[in-house]
Amino acid sequence: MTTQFGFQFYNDDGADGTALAAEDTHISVSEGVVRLRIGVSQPLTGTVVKTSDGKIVKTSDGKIVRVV
Amino acid sequence: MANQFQLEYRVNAGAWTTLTGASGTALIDSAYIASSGTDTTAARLTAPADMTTGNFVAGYISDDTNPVAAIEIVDSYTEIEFCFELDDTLSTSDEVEFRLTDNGAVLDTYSITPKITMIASQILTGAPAISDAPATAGTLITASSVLQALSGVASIATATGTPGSLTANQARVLAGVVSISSSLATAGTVKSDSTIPQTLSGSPSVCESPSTAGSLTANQARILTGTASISEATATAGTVAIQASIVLTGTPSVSQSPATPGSLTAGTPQSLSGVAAISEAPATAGAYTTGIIARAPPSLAAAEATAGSVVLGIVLTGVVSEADAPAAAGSFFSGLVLDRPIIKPGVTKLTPAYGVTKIT
Repeated sequence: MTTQFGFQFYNDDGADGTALAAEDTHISVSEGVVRLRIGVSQPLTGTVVKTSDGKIVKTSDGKIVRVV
Repeated sequence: MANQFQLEYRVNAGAWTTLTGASGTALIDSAYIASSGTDTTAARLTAPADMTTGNFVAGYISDDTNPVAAIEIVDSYTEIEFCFELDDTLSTSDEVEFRLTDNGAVLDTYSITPKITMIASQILTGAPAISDAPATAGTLITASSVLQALSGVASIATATGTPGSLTANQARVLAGVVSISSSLATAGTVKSDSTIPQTLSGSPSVCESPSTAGSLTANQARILTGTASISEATATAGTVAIQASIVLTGTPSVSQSPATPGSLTAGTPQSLSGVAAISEAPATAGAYTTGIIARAPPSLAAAEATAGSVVLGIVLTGVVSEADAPAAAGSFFSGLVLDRPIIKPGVTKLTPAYGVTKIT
């Protein structure tokens, strides 16, 4: 499940541009060049299983993939 | 499964369009981004829920390629960055939204959608700097009816090679320690078309010590209080042109000791009180011309290598000294009344040998 989860606008004034606004904040401009960084995630879906030493994610096909 | 992320936009909730390098809202070349979208991202955003930066997979930064190269982000997250230019035909209040797709296929979830709203003017609050030390200053033009205030330590076109211009149709307030065109190679211009008076308070300086002085033009009364200086000690003095009464209080100085004095031209009576000096001790004296009144104790072109001239139409009172001990005497002409002791009544003329010759 791919999710667009966050973004930030930057100036084009360096390799890492300076932020135009706080993360996840829309901006208002009159003109100009803008850099936009968008975050996307793709977490595995499955069942969280309680084990003796913590919790793990068990996918629908039975694989244990991640300790949470 | 790999994803190939592509940036799309829409205007005012219209149809989604892929950004290209064509005209309109489009990708645009950046001096800081490698071509062909080969630069990679490091984590800068807050990681999504249930993940940390340990789950980050580097994405791509592009200014000419859309979609970027495919990446695998299973059980992880990434950040994709694009550099683009907004369409200059957009109108005020237009809203431009952005999203990523997997090479055209929409993602499963859009928990948030970036948006840019187009505006016509800029509102600067707090401690703003406009065109602070750029190589070439830009221009700030506002036709807004909203008062624009620069507070704190504000700098307008400070120390630029070529200063820009600030055009205002409303009152502007400069508070605290402000400097306009301070120490520039070429001074800029501050111009007001407003009927609202402009006030410089505190310790203001206008065109202080540039190699070439600029000009200050005003259509309203201007008040300089405290320690005010106009074109102080410049190689070439500038000009202050006024069309209303100007008051200099405290210890005022007008074009003090420049190599070549400037000129003060007034269309209405001007009063200099306290210790006032006009063109004091320059190498070459300037000229003082008045159609009204000069009151005591004026000192005119004292101790000059070459004296200047005084032309008066009305009254001289008190202790008057004219062309005091110059190497070569100047000339003094009076057409009307001298009401204190003077060598001869009527029209007099001093000779170069400091004598007095009555002209009948």
